[in-house]
Amino acid sequence: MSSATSPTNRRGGTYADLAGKLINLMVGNIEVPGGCLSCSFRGPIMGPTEDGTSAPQYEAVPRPFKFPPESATLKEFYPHQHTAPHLALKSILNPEKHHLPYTVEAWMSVGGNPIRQNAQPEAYVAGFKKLSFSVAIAFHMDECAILSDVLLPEHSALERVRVTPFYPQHQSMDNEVCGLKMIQYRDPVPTLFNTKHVDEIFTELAEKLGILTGEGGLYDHLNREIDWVDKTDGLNLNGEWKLDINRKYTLEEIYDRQIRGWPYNKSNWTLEDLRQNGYLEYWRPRKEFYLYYYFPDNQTRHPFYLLGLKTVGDRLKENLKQHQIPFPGVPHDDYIFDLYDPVVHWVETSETHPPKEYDLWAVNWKTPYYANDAGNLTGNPWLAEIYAKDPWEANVLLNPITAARKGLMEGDSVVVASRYGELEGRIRVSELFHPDTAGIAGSYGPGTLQSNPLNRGR
Amino acid sequence: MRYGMVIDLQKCTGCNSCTVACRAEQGTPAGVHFHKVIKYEFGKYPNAKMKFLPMPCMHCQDPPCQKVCPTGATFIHPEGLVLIDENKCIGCRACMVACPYESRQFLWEIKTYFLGIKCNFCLQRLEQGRLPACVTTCPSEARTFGDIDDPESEVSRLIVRHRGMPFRAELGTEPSVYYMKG
Repeated sequence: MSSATSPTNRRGGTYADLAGKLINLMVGNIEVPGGCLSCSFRGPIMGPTEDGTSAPQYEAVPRPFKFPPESATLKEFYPHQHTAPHLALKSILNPEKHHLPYTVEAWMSVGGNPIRQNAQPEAYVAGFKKLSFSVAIAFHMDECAILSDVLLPEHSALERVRVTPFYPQHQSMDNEVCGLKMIQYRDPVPTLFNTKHVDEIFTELAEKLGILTGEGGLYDHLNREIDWVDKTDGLNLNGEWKLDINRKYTLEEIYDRQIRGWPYNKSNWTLEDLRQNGYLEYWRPRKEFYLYYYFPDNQTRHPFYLLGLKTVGDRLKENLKQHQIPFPGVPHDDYIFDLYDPVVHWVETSETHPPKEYDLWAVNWKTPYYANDAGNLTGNPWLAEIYAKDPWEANVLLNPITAARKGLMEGDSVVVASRYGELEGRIRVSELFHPDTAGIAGSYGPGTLQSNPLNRGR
Repeated sequence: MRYGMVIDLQKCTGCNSCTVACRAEQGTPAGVHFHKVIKYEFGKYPNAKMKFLPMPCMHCQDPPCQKVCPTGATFIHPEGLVLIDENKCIGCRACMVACPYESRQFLWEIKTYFLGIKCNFCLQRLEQGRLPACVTTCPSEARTFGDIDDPESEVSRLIVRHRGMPFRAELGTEPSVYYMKG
């Protein structure tokens, strides 16, 4: 049973995930051949804590509380936070309400566009208006680039030389990729304009700031850093291949040292070898796919209740009480602390009790050629041509039974309205959709002044 | 020697990488694709599925497009490819009407003359010992290319082992593109 993605990407999703794991636990289906494997790194990471249950990893390790908070994304109030640019926006717009002891004056955008890739672009525009200074590292003139005081032009995706590890599937049921360790090289195409690789821009900025070399500098940091996802299996700087922190390197020299020090580089390949061959792979023995291998004979037990979560919640609640402050940005604290319960329970979302006048659920999806909008994928005219000819995209899709019930026919123009807005579209009937849903492809970049006006819903 | 291709429909995810790779390789203008991926539904809710049919030119060995060509511009290459001699094409578009797979497209203006155009199995790459762009690009490795006249080739063995069939074999066009059932 997989509890990945859909049930977990919503309020209370942790409990949907835990419920799935409990069912897998009860049938002995965790970390065994053919069973449910935990995501990411394969290795000795789930050693027992004092009570014998597996130690938390990644974002399950809580961040310490601090008041007043230092981060604009309020990490201090969200000990298990992933990425939260929406909280940074709230901090910009209303720092006092979020207990921030400063106002956010500057913003740097690198490879992202919070205005376009957001359901509330107007709110981000309001946030940008409050900033005194913004910098954008961008490869095309998107909204962040247009609004920036300083624009640092970078290569587009295909113009960048790229050396990367092959990351294991983030949430995986199968074992086919668990044993594959691989690094990959991509040759760049010639640049069209006077741009730089984004890492060269950061190197130059660090050099000008005097923080590139020396103790505590960028190179020192790179030497000590290990891959966050793939840990010691990642492209880290290892052993003799660590950087001399007192001299400057080219990007190629750093890649070369990463490759030479990669633990699965059994043939002592260099950057040039990887350039010639494209990739270097190593298949770990199958027994090493399973975390059980590293702590056999029930050395580690998987927790049935998330006691760690309760401890973190209790501590957070105590800290708020000590500083006599409410949890920032929510109507009442229970909205937050309901999610620190260690036991699986039903969590209501904003859609649990929708008004009766709305009789359909809107569902969306991504197509393989529009997997995301990173690198302005939805602005690619070649893909836009495919999209325009795709009958399952850019239409409102209804099950034939639903269409008949509403007296609608293929090609009819309709307005789809929710509590949050409305859009216009043409009907296409499809057996692929639940009779209680309206299928609307997305999210391919909500409308902004820089995009197709048809994408601007109301 | 006859070049052919077999496409495993169970592996195709409809990502259109082949369509984009073809366009990059052939340099076709906006709106002109030598290759397309047909999407279609199969079944009734709740057992309905989305299916995909990638379609290059079928490189038929009895091609209707060749039969209707009034100038002999369409011809069969010695290695089985159905090609167009640009110098003989007068742009009458009879081939577009005749092709049952809608593989033919039309360039409305290239300098001063009109031209029918189509997939050539990347002949320019084959001549360099490389595979067609759609074959090397497919992320799920759904495509296999080779000599379907050679019973020992991988493409021939896949066709036999998986009972590969051409699309609309009943038309009698003898395509060089086969599909493994999805």
